[in-house]
This record gives sequence, C-alpha cells and structure tokens, in this order.
Amino acid sequence: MTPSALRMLCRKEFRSIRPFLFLVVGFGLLDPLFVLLSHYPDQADLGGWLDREAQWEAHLMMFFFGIALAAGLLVREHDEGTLAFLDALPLSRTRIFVAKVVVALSVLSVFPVLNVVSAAVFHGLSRTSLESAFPWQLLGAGGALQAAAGFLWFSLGLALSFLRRYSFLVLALLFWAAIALEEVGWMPIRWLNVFSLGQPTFHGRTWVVPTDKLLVQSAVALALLAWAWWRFRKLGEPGGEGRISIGRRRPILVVVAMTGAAIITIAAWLALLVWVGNDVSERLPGSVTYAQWRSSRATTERYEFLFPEYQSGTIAPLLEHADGVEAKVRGFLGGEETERIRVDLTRPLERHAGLAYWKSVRMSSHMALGDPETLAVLGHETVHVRLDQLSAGRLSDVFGSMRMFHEGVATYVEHRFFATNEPLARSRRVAAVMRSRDEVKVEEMVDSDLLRRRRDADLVYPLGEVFIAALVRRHGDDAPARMARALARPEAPKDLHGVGLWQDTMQAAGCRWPGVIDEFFAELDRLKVEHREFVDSVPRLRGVFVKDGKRLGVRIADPWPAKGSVVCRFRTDPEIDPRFYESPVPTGDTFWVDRADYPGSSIGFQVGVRRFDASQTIYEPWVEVRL
Amino acid sequence: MIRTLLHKEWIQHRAALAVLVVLVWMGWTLAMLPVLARGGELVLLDQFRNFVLVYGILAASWICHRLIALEYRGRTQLFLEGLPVSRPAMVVVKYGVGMTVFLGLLAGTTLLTLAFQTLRHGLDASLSAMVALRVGAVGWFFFNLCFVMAFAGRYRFAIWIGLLLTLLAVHELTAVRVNEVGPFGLMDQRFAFEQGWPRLGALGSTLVGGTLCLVGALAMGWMREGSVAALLAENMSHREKVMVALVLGGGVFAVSVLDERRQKDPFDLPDAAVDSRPGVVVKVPWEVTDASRRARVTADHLSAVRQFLDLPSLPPVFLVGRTDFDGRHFERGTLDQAEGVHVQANFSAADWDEERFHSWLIREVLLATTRQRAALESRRWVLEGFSSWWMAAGRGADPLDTDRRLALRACYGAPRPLTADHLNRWLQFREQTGPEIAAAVAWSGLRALERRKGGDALREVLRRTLGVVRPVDGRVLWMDRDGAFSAALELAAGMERDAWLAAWNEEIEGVRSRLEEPLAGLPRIQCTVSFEPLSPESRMLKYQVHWEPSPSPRAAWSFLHAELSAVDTEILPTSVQRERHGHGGEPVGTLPGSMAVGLRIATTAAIEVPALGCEVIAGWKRHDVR
Repeated sequence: MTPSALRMLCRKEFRSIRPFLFLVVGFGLLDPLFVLLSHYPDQADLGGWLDREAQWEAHLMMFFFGIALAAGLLVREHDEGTLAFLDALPLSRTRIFVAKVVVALSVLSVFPVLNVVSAAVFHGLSRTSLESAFPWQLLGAGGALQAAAGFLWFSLGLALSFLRRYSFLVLALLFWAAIALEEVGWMPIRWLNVFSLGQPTFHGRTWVVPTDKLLVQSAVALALLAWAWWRFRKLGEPGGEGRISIGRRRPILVVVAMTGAAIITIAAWLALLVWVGNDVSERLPGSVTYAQWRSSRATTERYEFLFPEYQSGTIAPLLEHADGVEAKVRGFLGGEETERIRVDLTRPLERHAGLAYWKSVRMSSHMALGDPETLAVLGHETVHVRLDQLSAGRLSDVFGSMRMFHEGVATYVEHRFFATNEPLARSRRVAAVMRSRDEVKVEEMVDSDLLRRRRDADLVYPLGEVFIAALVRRHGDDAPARMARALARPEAPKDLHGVGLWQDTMQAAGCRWPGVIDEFFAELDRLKVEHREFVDSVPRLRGVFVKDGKRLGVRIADPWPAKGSVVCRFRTDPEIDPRFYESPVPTGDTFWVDRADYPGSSIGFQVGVRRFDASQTIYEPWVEVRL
Repeated sequence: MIRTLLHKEWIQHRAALAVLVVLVWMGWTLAMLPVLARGGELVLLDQFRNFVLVYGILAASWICHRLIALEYRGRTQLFLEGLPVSRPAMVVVKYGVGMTVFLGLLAGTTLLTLAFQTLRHGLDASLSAMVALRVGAVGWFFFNLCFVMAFAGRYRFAIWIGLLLTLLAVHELTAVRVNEVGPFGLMDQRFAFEQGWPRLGALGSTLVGGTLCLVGALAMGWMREGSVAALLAENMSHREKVMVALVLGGGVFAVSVLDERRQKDPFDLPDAAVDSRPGVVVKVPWEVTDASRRARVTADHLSAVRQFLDLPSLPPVFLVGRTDFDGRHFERGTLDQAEGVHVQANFSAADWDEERFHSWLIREVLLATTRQRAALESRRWVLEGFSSWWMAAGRGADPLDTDRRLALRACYGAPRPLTADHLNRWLQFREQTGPEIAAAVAWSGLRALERRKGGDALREVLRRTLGVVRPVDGRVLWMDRDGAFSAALELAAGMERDAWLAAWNEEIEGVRSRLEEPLAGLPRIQCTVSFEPLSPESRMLKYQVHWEPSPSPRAAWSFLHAELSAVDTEILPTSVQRERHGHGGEPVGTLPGSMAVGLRIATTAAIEVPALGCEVIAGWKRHDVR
C-alpha cells in the first residue's frame, strides 16, 4: 500500500461526503448567525450555551448527523457497485474502512468545533472583570461530549447500516425497548443513554464528564464499530452479504430467519406483558395472592362512582354526602350544573389520595369510604374538575405555571369546606417553616419544574392554599373562578408562562397580582409568628455525603430530632420525575443507596423531617454531589 | 380487473402489512403496558390517545409509502397502466386497500382498549362512542394526509417536516392555537373523559381537511396522466438531500429570528393612578398609599431624565406595593413578552428612602430603555454614577462635599489613586466596595467633570454614553468600537481621559482632607471563612468577622453568601442569602446545612454604617469548596 493511494482514497471519500460537510457547516453556523441577528454579541456570555436546552439541541444534531452519515457510508459502495473499483486499489478492506471512518468522523467533528468556537468567541467578547480565567474546561468538556455523542451515534448507525432500509426500524425498536426497560425499572439501561451526555452537570467551574458512563458507551461503540468492520470485510463476498444483512435480494434463509425473529420477538413481548401483568417479581415462595374484585357502580345526582365490590357495605356515607360536596364546590366556584363526574375508586394510587382528569376523578381504593377525609379528597378533586371546565381545559395546557393555582384552590376549598381546623394548621405549619427559612420564592411558585428541582414539588399544596386564601381575602370568593374563566377567554395571549401568565390572568379577572403577592407574604409572616413554637422545633438538618465501596450514603450530622422522623431521598438527575426518587430506610444514622443505580456524574440528595403535626415532610433544599 | 388489482396488492404487500400489523400490536402493548400492568396514576384511554397519535400516524405513513411511493419510485405503475384499467381505478383501489388495513388496525386496537376499559370500569356507551368517533375521524384525516404526501415522492419527508414547522410557526407567531383545531383538538386531553360531542369546529375542520387531502391525492394521481407523481417519486440525489435539509434548517432559523424580534405587547395595569407625559407613562395601583402623588413625582423624574438624555421615549413604568419588603429593597420583575418596567417596593416602610428608590428606578429604566446595553461593564459606572448624580443634580461648581453623605461614601470607597483600570474593571470594583459605595465613587467622577467643564459638557457626555439606543444585533460591534465614555469625553468635553482622571483624583483628595475626621471613624470590615470537613465529600462553612474601628454598639452585622454558577457573573441581589447577627455576640457563625465539595460560593460580611446611610461590606470573595 502506498501513502499516495491512501491519500487518494481519503480525497475520494471527502469528495463523496462533501455535501454532508456543507450541511454540517450550514447547521453549525445557524447558532452564531442567530446571535448576530437577534442579540448583542458582546453580551452573549457562555451562560446561554451551557443551558440544558442548548446542549440538548446540539446533541440532537449530533444524533441526526451521526446516524445519517453512517447510513450509506459503507453499504453504498456495495449497492452502487463501486466496491469493486476500491478492491482494485492496492488497499485492504481494513484500510478502506479506516479511511472512511476517519474522514466521516472528521466531518462530524466540524459541528462541535463550530459550536465551541462560536461560543468561545461570543464569550470572549462578553467577558467581564469578574471572570478570573477563561472557561476552557467548560468549552472543552461540552465540545468533547458533543463529539463523543457523534462518535457513539455514528458507530451505532454504521452497525445498523447493513440492514439497509430496515435500519431505522431497528433503531426505533431499540429506542422503544430502552424506554420500556426504564419504564419497568431496569436501571442499568441508563448507562447506555447517549442523550444523557448532553445534560450538563457542573461542580464549581468544572463541567463534570460522566467518565464511567462514557467508558461503558465507548466500549459498546467500539464493539459496534468492530462489527461494522467485520461486515464490511465480508461485503460482496459470496454468502457474506446474505447471511445477516438484508439487501435487495432476500434468499429464503433470510426470510426464514426474519420470520423466526419475528415469532421470537412476539413471544418475548407477550411473555413480558404476562410477566409484568402478573407481577411475577412479587410472587415469592409462600406469598399469598388474591383474586381481583370486580367493580360495582353507584350513581348520585352529581357523581357516578365505580368501586370494588368489597366496599359496597361502606360506600353509603360517601354516596349520601357526595352531592353536598359538589354543591359546595359549585357554590364556591359558580357555574352551571354539568354532567355527572365519574369517580373511580377501583385502584390504589401510588403517591396521591386522588387525581382529577377533565371530568373524571380517581381516588385510591385504599381510602376508608366512611371517613370524612374521603369527602375532603372528593371535594379537592371536584375542584380540579370544575377549574378545568371553567378554563376550558387551558389550565392543563399551562399546568407547570399554574399548578400552584390548581392545587391552591383545591386545597383551600378542601380545608375551608370539608376539613377540621387541625388539618389546616398542619398544612400552614409547613408554609410557616418555609417562610421562616426564606425559602418561598415567587419564581419557584409559578414554575412547578423549578420548585421540584430546587425543593419539593408538593410545596404547592401548603403555599398554594395560603396564596388562594390571600387572593380570596383581597378580591372575594369568586376570584378563583374569575381567574379560571379568564384563562379560557379567546383573546388570552398564548405562550405566556410564569409570572407573566399570572399577571395577565389576574388582570383579566379584575385581580391584582402584586396586591395578592403582598397579602400572601404578609400572611406567611403572620403564620411564622403564630406557629413559632413549631417552626423552632423543626431542626435544620445537615446531610453529610459518604461513600462506602459500592454504596453511596448520606449521614445525618446533627442529633436526630426528638419529634418526628428523619428521611432522605436521592435522585439521579434534577430533571427526573419524583416517582423515580429513591427513599431508603436508614441504617443507623445513614441512608444508603447502590452506586450502580446512579450512573451519572452526580447524585442529588435531600434530607427532611416528617412530623405528624405537619401535612407533609419538610425538606431541606436539594444538594448535588459530584461522583 | 379490480379483483386482479386487489390480488396484486395483496401479493405485493402482504408480508410488509403483516409486519406492520405485528408492529402496531407490539406498539399497542408497549403503550398500554404501564397501565395494564400497574394501573397507578395512568389512565387507559389517555394512554390510548398517545398510541393513536404516534403509532397511528406512523402506520398510515408506512402503508401509503408501500402502496404509492414505492410503486411510483420503482416505476411499476407503468405495468399497471398497461392493463385495461383506468388510472383513477388504480388509485382508488390502492386507497381502498390501505384504508381498509389502517382502519382495521385502528378499529381492532380501539375495540380491545374499550374492552379493557369496560372490564375495569364497566360499560360507558356514550364515552365509548365518542372515543370511536374521535379515533375514526382523526384516523381518516391522517390516512388521507399520508396518502397525499405519498404522491409527493422524494419530497414527502421534507414536506412533513415543513408542515410541522409551519404549524409550530403559526402557533408561535400568530393568535391561532394549533392544539385546539382539527385533529389536535379532537385528541386533546379531554379525549379520555369527554362523554359529550367533541367541539364541532375541531370535528368539522378534521373532516374537511381529510377530504381536501383525499381530493389532493386523487388530483396528484391523475394529473398529467400520473407523470407528476412519477417524476416526484424518483430518488433524491445526495446534493438534493443536503439542499432540502438546509432549506428546512433555514426555515427554522427564520422563524426563530422572527420570533425573537417580534414586537412586544405593552403591559398594562388597570385601576391605577396614571401620569402620562410625552414619552413617559407611570402607573401606580390605587391601593398604594398616595398613588397619584407617587405617579406624578416619578413621572416628573423620568420625564426630566428623558429630556436630559434626549431619549425619544422610556418604557412604561409600573410601581406596585409589597408590604413584606423593607424600605431598602426594591425588585424589578420580568415581563413575559411585554414591554415595561414593573417594580415592587414597600412605599410605606418605616425606613423608606425616596431618593434611594428613585435613583435605583432611573437606573432600571435606563437599562430597559437601552435593552441592557447600559449594563456593559465599560459604561456601567456611568449609569450608576448618573443615577446618583441625578438625585443631587444642580450643584454646578459647588464642592463635592456639599452632598456630604455621597462625598463620604465616595472617599470611603475610592482607591488611591483611582485609575482607568478601576473603571475598566468596574464590576470587580463594585463587588469589593458594595453597590452604594461604588455608585458614590462614580458620582464623584461625574461631579469632577461637571466642576471642570460645566453642566452642558457633562450632559453631552452622558447623552452620548447613555442616551443612545442600539439595534439588537451584531452591528453594535462596529457602532460601539470606540469606548463610549472616552470617545464622548473627547468629543463633547474636549478632555483626554487621563486629564479627567487626574482631576477626579484631585477632587477626591480635596474632599478627603476636609472630611478626615468622620472618615477616620468609619469601620473597615474583614471576613474569613473556612470549610470544615464533615466527610470527604461534604463540608460545613464557618465564618469570622472583624472590623476596625468598632461601629456603634447597636449596629447589627450580617454574613452574606450566594451560590455561584459555573460562569463568573454578577452576584444578583436576589441570589444573596443573609445570616443576620446582633452586635452583642461573638463575630463568628456557622451556616446551616452542608456543602458538597466542588460547589462554588461567594461570601462577605456587611455592617450598617449610619454615617454613610448604607451597608459597607468586606468585599465579596469567591470560593471553590474544597
């Protein structure tokens, strides 16, 4: 092999994928062009580039580029009959493969390079004296992770490319399988999530690279690359193409193999369905299983209840008082009578006493139907239903911004009309503690995701109740209903969120956001004084992060409180849904979790105190620790 | 002959359609798995809605791809055209076959889902009927859409993406709510619960849209004896693909730029006292004490500032009350997609300082007017100096210590000597001295210029520095290439920067000599922190404060801290947390909670100094927790 032949080959490859290079450069220049056309370039520091969304977009581009470039890189030579010309050159298939991969990866790397260079230039123009050193590490790590993601997707695309037009189908199946595995709780799948590389984690001035995860994924990518190399070597050989890949001609062997694979897949799928459906994992030796009870139905004037037959003897009090609940809710929120609300009591709920969906309500089957608390929950959920109706469904569209309103009105009505004073005090104690810690922030109250990331999404209940109480005091009992209707008005501006949405809605409803906010904080201050004894009795807990072999833990540094119990929960990522939080039982004074379940570069923990005289656990803010 | 055509389609596509049937049912299983297996908080019919929207569209798209796109791309339709069968019959047969398979799949999955729903919750005939109606209408629409798209041949994917982007653009840039019209309106969150008729508008537009798509597909199939469809079905070249991708990318880009540059709507505050002047509007809600007077006084200030700086107009200003604030804290809110300066403050606080508020407000209004351009470090000191100078304007050639408090602050904070480097690194200087002290230092610079060159020269310099509104794009790199203040100083006041700096230092030294005694009594404060290890990964922060000379016995001191981001930016007042201490105890403390190693935190200590009328700080220090 002569160097000139290899050079020629590289040049030929480069010519061949030159249009793709234009594409990569074109898309790579869009971002800087956007800044130049719609921002001050000397006031566009690195903050925007480090944003999660910006990184996600860049990684999405790497996914598209990686897969698209790999799709025809090897197999096109065979399909278009040009492989024979390459074979005539004094070059082995391995060298051809290497040349193709190197040129393709060079073209792919242009995007992260452009991305990083433009970010560096804008940041350079926007630097202030506060910056002690240029953030090379941030830029380098971000760019390197983009490039790594490009390599990983490219390797996968190359391995799948031999399936020709079926490759995208297989890719989709792989995605769905990954989602299904995560859904059924198989956590190791997270180690293979390439998109998670685009979720920046910072510690100080450092972008923490998830080295372990990257190593695992790189190993898989190299294996895929080796597979692609092996397939490429066999490409065009007699029998080499037909054995595994699906080309234009389909020998009978392929048809048989495909049919067999399809049957196995269907069988596996059905087995999975049956396995999960029967919850085999819980069928330990000696465990007891019970037959499922059938559903029964009962209707009142305003509700239609579905309940397990075994509750038919206890549902009478609920049926007797249910219409009264609806009448009170309607009396408060106004509006016409509508069709019956369907209440499903047939299934247990994992994290809530009740849930509302448009004109339906679900309440946990574990509730004692004769208990007044059940009526309170019914009232709470009925409020949600009516608010959704009054807002013509718009409240659901802006749930993230208006969750405090939704839950606040429901909790307010629940306490005002259906509960005793004690539950209200329990809820308000939580609000008082948060205020005394200066942890009630307006920007978090109007952004459910932000509240969840920083503190506790469930704070919308106690804080929302106090807020709605302030709203009602300022603007009257009909203020919540007016707000819900204001959301439904046809001329309501779209795409508003956060404080802007609240201000617009309240303004349209004849209410005043600043006045209510003012009243809200004044009320919180009053509660702080009223519940001073409780507030003082809830200690600030100091969680100390520790490692022990394959375990990660949080030790409580302070003496455990005399009242209540200490809890600690963990999360892999600030963005994940709370149902994936892990809340272990402590061993001694430490809460332990398995390292294997936390494949990222950081872990979040949050300690809290659970008290019987408070409506919910009172948490400290989340702490993120680098792993 | 129709039967022969049907037989041909069956032979040609049976394997692919069988795979499709398997995949759709697998998809149904996957989508329904969490609900069927666990129940929990998920709703069966709501999951089915997701299934229809994802798998339904994919299935329709694949069927049409097989029946139409592949036929034309492979040019096998030419064989069919050779048969004694009309072209319309050929297209209709294909449509019939595809629609039968597709609706069969939808019907099967819908029936099974409703069966599960009935098993679990009992039969609800009206809900089931509405679900079937919605699924049927939406399925019909999407199949027809996919059918017409299949005739677009090699451009169909580009058109799909273009269609999606257009819908997004319409939703973002116009008043139309795309999620409430047509098939999206039928498949909204009410799908799983609504027993009544769906909105007629949504149903009607879905049916009309579906019909139009069908008509379009038939037209494409018959147009010029099907040659248009045949031409479009040819494979796309590599370059063509790249071109299409770039065009689509450009479309996204154009929409993004348009969205970014969209004119913001004015914000409004009803039921408020309003004071309007040319280019100035101030609104204060009636519930704020003395709302009319407050609106008038603020409008007076702002109107005068506008005229002084020769600005065409200022954004509307809204002043609202927050009684939980103390009199020293003010807050400017962010207006979402609206123009204006929305401010909250406690106007009736016991320690309310009117002058301080207006100084702060002028700064915020100028920042909004210049679209944050005045926040650039090179002109930031001018902005801060101007807002202080404005509140004590009209002193002319009077010595600086006519405004004793400002002069004291300036002498307390000004370095010896004050150099151009301090101005170039203004944010750093400000972080070390505190905002009030830094503003007073900047004020002294403007006063020095006023005393040397007169009020008109100062006004011209300020007008050229702060009174210019630049377009929000890259042209500013060219327009602002000369340092704004230095250039203005030379042009308007005919003074070199070094000469002015020398004059400034001279003025400050003069004041210092006159205020030597009170200056000597002002405390200098120092703060040290340590991070005590709790474990290899966790730390506890301890702090100790020292001041000299000791302030009055009643003065309270505070430890301030703020978490820092990865990039070094200003420490915003809203990010600062305070540990307040009485003067009596030991000047030490510990922060509650623990800190992870690697965290970045800024710390300082502050003490109230009555003689200065503000807090002095120890200077912020930025730490990496180790």
